[in-house]
Amino acid sequence: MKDTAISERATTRGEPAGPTVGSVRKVRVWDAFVRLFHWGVVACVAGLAWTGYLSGSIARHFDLHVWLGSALSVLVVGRLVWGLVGSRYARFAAFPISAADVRRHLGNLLRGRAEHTIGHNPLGSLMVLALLATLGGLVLTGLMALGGVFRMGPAKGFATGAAGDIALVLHWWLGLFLLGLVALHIGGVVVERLLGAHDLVRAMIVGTKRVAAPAAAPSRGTPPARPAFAALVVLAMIGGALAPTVAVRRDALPGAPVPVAGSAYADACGDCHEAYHPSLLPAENWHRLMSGLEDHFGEDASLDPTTTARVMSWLAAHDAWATETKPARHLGRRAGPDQLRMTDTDFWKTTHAALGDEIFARPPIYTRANCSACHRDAASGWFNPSAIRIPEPPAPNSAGN
Amino acid sequence: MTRSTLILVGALAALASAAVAADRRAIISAYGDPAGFSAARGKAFFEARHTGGKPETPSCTTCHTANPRAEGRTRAGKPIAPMAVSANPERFTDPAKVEKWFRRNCNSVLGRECTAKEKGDVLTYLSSL
Repeated sequence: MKDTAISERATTRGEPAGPTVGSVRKVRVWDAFVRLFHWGVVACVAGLAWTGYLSGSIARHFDLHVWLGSALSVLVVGRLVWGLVGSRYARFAAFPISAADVRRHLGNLLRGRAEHTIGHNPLGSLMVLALLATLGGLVLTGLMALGGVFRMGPAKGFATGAAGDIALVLHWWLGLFLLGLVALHIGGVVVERLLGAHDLVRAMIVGTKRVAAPAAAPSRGTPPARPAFAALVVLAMIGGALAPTVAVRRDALPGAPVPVAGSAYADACGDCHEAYHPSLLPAENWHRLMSGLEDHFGEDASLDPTTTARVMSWLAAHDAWATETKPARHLGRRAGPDQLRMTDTDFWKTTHAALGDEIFARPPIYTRANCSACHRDAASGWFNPSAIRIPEPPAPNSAGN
Repeated sequence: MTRSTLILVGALAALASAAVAADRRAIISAYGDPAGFSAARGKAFFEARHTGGKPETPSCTTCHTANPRAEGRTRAGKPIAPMAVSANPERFTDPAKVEKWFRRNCNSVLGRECTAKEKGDVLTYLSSL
């Protein structure tokens, strides 16, 4: 504390301080990156909240959600690095978050007085840290869910399905928690404004605050910002995430769904219906199904014994327990012993509950049994959310032609 | 491509289609004397509503539609290539395939095997279109 006066002179000299009007001067608080980060996060979070919750169908907006999350993760990593090597007020070390700072700020709030801080005020600093931690948690759980549940992204090589499931639940709750924090954050900005403090929104747009000269009391000298170093770290993180995403082929992962085309099963069963992927039922259910082909959902679909045995052993080798995909784990493995139709399973019913009979009756779908009419990748067994395309209803006036 | 190559290709195509037609005649003959089969009877059988089979499939037309030149559709939504030879020249050229589907579909629609005469009539009808 004793060297305050000296260090203030040392640090303010290098700053682009605006012209002093009376006892008020303009201080550049938020550099270009902090502002880009802030409004970039606002845009990403708005899009992520819409795709994740408000749109009502994350499956329909899966790709957009992942892209926005990727952009957000770059921003968050950048901000974390900038908090260590960035400009003066962006540094976490400069955040006034000591118990005394927080107590003083709370006291001011209770007395209806504004807290005049150049950078983030004490409660604002805590909020920034909470927001960053939550965003970081969302990025990590998102990556784990993407890797474990969907076998995509940088974590696909090591995230297990069970870990992905847990991460996805956490991701969902963390997202809600974040929206709560955002509401508090906005509330805090409004309160400070009403109490007569700086226009925090304006400062975050133009980057400067007007500060009463004596109030401009920074504490310690700050080393210069190192944007090149920060950019290098961010680029390294992007490279580190992209490399395994691109280098690890999903179809080469252990537990990848078997290709169906050309199999004895596809030849024997694919004439009447699409060759439902073997990972969609456990071997016991396939066995039960193959044992009753004379009355196969109301039709005789019998095969000669040799073909039946060959098809059965192939199905058993690639069943739900042999495959690590979301549909294998959530639909196939959870099928009850009597559930021989995938459409009878709880998972199928839940995930298709929002789709009305009209959609399934629509050409070229015709029936709930026609997975590939909407799931373009049904034959692969992956059932990516982003491969879903529900055919539009036929135009009413084309029916007669 | 020279003219002689064209002629050769044309001749080969004609030969191949003749061979296919011969295969089909052989498949029909395996069910009896072709002269004894009737396209009209085959059509009536194809379009009739039968009892004794599974309730989901009372007729050939349930999946194949009443127009054999058009595509049909299985109950699981999969298209079935036209049954009429004129619309689908590959029909009835593989005896094992013909027998497989008669065995399954007759059991589904009629609850029994089809007789040789019924099979011959249906094949004659579908080949005559």
